[in-house]
Amino acid sequence: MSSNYNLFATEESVIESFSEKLAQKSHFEASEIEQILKEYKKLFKSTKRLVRMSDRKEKELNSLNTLMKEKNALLELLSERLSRYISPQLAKTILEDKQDVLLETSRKKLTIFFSDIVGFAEIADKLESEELTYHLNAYLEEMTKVALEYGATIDKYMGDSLMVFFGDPVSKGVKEDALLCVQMALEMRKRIRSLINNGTILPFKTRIGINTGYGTVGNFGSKSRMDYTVIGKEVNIASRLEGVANEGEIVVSDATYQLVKENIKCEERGVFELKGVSHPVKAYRVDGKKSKGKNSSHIFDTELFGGAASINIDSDKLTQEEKQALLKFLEDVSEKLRYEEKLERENQ
Amino acid sequence: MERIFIEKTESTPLVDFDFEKGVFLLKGESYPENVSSFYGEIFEKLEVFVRESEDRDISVEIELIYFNSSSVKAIMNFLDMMEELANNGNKVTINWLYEADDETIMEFGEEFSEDLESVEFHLKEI
Repeated sequence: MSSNYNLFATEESVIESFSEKLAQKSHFEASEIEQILKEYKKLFKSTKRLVRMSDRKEKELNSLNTLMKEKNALLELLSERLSRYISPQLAKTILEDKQDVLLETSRKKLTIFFSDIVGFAEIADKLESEELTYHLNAYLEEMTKVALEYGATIDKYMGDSLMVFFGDPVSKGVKEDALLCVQMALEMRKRIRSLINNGTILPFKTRIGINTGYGTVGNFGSKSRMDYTVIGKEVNIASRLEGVANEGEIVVSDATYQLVKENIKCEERGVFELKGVSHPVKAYRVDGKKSKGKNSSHIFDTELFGGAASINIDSDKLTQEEKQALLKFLEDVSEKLRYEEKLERENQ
Repeated sequence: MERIFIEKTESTPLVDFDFEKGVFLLKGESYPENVSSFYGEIFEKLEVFVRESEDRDISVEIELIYFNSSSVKAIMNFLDMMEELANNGNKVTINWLYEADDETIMEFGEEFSEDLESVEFHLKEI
């Protein structure tokens, strides 16, 4: 639709007409002044009305803005509550409308993690329910905290077991996902040890299994109630590797090992025939992170005995005096350990 | 004069101006990108209609739920034309329709009616 229509044509024609008259003569008749006055009054009325309407619209806009802020706050609260039941990444993806809540799945390369507490059934048998709840929740709280720090998608809790995965709904690439998963497992082991040492939780012994491979990830269930999870044989392998891990051990499959070996120190753990898996699976025990220094002879960064001991020394950063003090300290530690060992031998 | 019928869009109202019957309808939201361009052709026809009509019954129904400031000016121009029609010996009735809980639109109707002396203006809750 094309038109030369001018919204302010009337006002402009009044201005134009009187400008012309003003250019032609210096004296105006009373009737002409009355006409100007009439037009001016009309304009004044219109202006007042437009200002009033504009103010009203502004007021309405402000109240809508307030309402929107309230709704946003409510949405944030609901999102925060929702994220306690599902993975925060997943909640965020759904709430930001990046993913439809449909019964849809896709095949992706994921790194899947399983952990549990060794002998949990026996521990549960000996404890009162409240005490057990407290210790289990404190344990899972810390595990979850670490998982979220590393960007894991928390799949589910099954009693004392935890299943998380990397690679969906967000992925940093297959290699980085695998590395983050193993680094997360190491951090979990460290934090749990610290909780045990300060007496927050019972001396739970955890074991962890990790595998990388293609899985079907997405929503499973019914349209009215669905679970976001991953299924496939690689999930089974991760779960079974957790089963073969000893107390405090992190066991990864060869597939995961190949992705993390540049950054993570691992020891071959053997080849396993796992239940429900048609082929033997080569596995590795994760010992710790590899040192990042260019000259590794100056740096010691080692986790020993399933994380029961760790040494982290960057000798380049130490002054001569500090090196002397460190040597003295290590000699003291050595002496103390020998003394403890001697006592144990004598007591046997 | 040919009837004007424009379907409503997200930002423009339904326009149904039946010049034969003297029945005009504006319904929906009005915040076109270019108000002059949207209302221009409609108002140019309306100006001809105003000049040519006398002793007629004109019925106008306006049911707008949102309009921007430029549309306010367009509505004022439209109402001026209706007032002129009424002053030319036509019987002009305007029904300003608003939803029960929409005080803003009701107040806008009150505001617009203040300038009308010859037009019969009704505020109607729907």
